[in-house]
Amino acid sequence: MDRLDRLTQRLIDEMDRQTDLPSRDCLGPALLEGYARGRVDPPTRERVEAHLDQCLTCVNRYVELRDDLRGIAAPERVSPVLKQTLARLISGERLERFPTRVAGSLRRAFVFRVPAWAVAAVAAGIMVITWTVAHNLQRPDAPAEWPVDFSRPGQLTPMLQQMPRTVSGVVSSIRDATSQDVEAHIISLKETSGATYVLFAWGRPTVSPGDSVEVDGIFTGATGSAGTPVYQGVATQLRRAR
Amino acid sequence: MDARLPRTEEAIGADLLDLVRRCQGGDPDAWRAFLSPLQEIGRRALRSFRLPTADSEDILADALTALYAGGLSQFRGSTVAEFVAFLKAVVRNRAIDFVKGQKRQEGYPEDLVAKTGRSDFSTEISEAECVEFLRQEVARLKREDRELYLMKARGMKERQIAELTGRPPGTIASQIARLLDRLRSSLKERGCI
Repeated sequence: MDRLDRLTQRLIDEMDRQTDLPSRDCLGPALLEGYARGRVDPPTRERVEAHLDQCLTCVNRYVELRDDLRGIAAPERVSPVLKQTLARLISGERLERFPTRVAGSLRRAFVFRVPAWAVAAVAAGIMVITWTVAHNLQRPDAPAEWPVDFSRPGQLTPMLQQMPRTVSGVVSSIRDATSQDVEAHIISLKETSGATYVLFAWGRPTVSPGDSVEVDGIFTGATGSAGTPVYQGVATQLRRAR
Repeated sequence: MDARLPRTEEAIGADLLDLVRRCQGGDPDAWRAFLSPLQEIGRRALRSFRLPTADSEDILADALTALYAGGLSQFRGSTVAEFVAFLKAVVRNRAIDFVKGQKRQEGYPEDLVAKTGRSDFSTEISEAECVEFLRQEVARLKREDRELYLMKARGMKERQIAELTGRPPGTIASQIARLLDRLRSSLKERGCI
């Protein structure tokens, strides 16, 4: 950069600053643009050219504007940096918009569309139902009768209200019930009263047919003819009788 | 020299304002189309900074981010000239911030001004006098030569000037060379060189 270049640079800088604060006589941007585009009538054109002959600042502005318009009209290929920047901006905006949209929907649903008293009523209802269920579970109406009278199916006690029981008898048979790698077996037990218990038990059998055993279990149902009931259930613990 | 724009460029210039309105409305396709004018105007605004290409692209990307983040909505003008001035101001401000951040010592106008400001008083007067003398010399030129000088001073290449004026690049190159020689001679007689 030689001396002329430096002086020229300063001159351009000064003229650019004057462009920001044009004098009263200088051409306005709209007029200058109209002249650059050939959109002024002949008298105006003569007036503009007469001014440009005298005003270096306006010539500078005109040269700059004409170059800008030329560049806009015949652009070069957009740089990848700008394209990537815009792609990031657009994708970032979408990421922001989605949660904003969801949050807005929720806000409208709960704040504007559902009255507060309705929310309070629903909450109170949930509390009442929860309290009622818990109260009934903890304090059953009456102990379950045992053994169940199976002649009337309606008398079957719901499983949750049955108390675990222990029965004893002699093992009459054992059948393997392993399924899908879960080891289990079904054991048939003959009680001294003549009743039969068919019980599901997990794991490998620990007793054999003919053994006297005691079984803790939950009994969920029964079938059988009169006098010889057959109870069904799940053995939770099984041991040999002493 | 009558180098006003041909008709095809008038329509493109008019479309620019419509494009800006669409960008302000958040149209992604409009923003993609906006990259071309931004790049063209931005590069012209950055010419006087004489920055490396990579730095110029970073500044344009930075300006794009600022415009996308809401800066473009600040534009309220109604002419292409106003929009070009707006866009150049955005890019120049980014460039000034960049140059200040980089703290480079030479090659940028602001640094040159600052450097001159640190010099002694007599040198500053001399520099100002020479700039004023150069202004008077340029003002005395024929309008055609004035425009050539200013286009060259703004960093335009001979090929670009030739396209704009419709004359052969070789003619433009020799005309500019003669013009600059004349100015150098005048500055030398004045004691500025």
